[in-house]
Amino acid sequence: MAAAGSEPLGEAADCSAENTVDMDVFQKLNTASQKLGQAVKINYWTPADPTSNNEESYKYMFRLKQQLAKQCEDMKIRLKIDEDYNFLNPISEAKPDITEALTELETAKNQHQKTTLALHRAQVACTISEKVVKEDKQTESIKETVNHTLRLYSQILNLQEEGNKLRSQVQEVRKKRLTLKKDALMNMVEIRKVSKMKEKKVQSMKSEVLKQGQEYLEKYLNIADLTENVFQGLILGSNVNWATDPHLREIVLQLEKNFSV
Amino acid sequence: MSVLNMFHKHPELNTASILLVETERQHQDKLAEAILAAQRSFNVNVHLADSLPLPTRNEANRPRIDLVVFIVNHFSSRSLELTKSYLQHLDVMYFLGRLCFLVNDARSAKSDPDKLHAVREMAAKYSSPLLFTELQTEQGLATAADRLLVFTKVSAGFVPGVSSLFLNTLTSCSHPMESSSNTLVDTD
Repeated sequence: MAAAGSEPLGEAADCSAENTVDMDVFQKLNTASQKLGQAVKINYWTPADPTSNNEESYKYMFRLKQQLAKQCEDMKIRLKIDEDYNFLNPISEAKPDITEALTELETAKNQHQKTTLALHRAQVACTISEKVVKEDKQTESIKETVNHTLRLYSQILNLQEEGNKLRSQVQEVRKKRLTLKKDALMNMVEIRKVSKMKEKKVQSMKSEVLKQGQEYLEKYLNIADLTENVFQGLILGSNVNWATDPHLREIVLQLEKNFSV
Repeated sequence: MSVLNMFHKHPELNTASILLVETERQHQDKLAEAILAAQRSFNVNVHLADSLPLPTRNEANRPRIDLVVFIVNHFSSRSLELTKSYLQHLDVMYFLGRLCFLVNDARSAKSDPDKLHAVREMAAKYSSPLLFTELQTEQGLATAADRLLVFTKVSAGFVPGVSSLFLNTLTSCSHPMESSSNTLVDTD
């Protein structure tokens, strides 16, 4: 603003050519205000160079002023900390904020690093392409390396594809094995079940058959005993001499045999 | 317990003070000379110490300390333990960007990666920058001095718009990752 203000002053100085004393004064004022304007322009950040430590120069004054202002700010921050200090829960209230801020900071740092890397990569690619176009002595080696890398990349891709294929094949074989195992297990279980059932059946049948057989045997034995008793009664009751006839003798003695047994 | 306080004294005009703390007093002097010889636009006072708390008899004459630098000797674990105990004697405001750790000659053959790891963990725990320097060579000394001067400029308030906490968020040491560099990671 001061620089803009000094311009019309300079023109006014040029116009009044008669009064040389005034002109001198005005010129001095002009130069001084120009310097002041420049100093105000760079007031935001006065660069520090070792040569300008002259105690009387404007730059030094401004730099000192900035330093003192900054130091006062630091002290104000320190006081603010004491004001805001929560005696009961000094850390726990701010903890989620702190962790959030830290994660934000980390992501910002990583982002910055990534972008610088990408920028560097772009710059390198640009210079390389320029060199290649320029047909320098380094062009040959650059082309060689680029071709080599391309060959390696294609090799890598092929090998990766092969690896993927093999992996999928292995997977399929594993799946088949799994299904076969499951089937085998199921079959074994069924076999066991069926064999158990068969055994049960056979046993029950056996016992049934046995029982029936035994029943029949008893029945017929009883019938046989009955008939023998009936025959003996008939023979004895009919007063026949059974001792002479072998058949009749057999029948009568049969009863005694049964009794003795 | 006497604590080194940040804001208990007035700052001097165009002057910053650095405190170099080193338990074995090997590199302090050379580093101090390099700092004083470096190109700068403000005055620097370099104070040397081998332990904290600082002796109380000099309390009145000592200016306000703007930056505290701990030079850790990573060849001995004792140095690390002592440094951790010195941290108790610092005011809280120092941990917000006015503190710096320095390790010398980390590339040497006799350095133990576990001890380096421990130093890095400590720096990450207190979210302070960790500088790796080569103080044996002149060039290394000059580089280290320049880097420290950048930190002092910001923490003494000579750079408007940049507070020490801002610089700390950019330069603080991050937690070291587990050393499992054998696994190849698929990019994209």
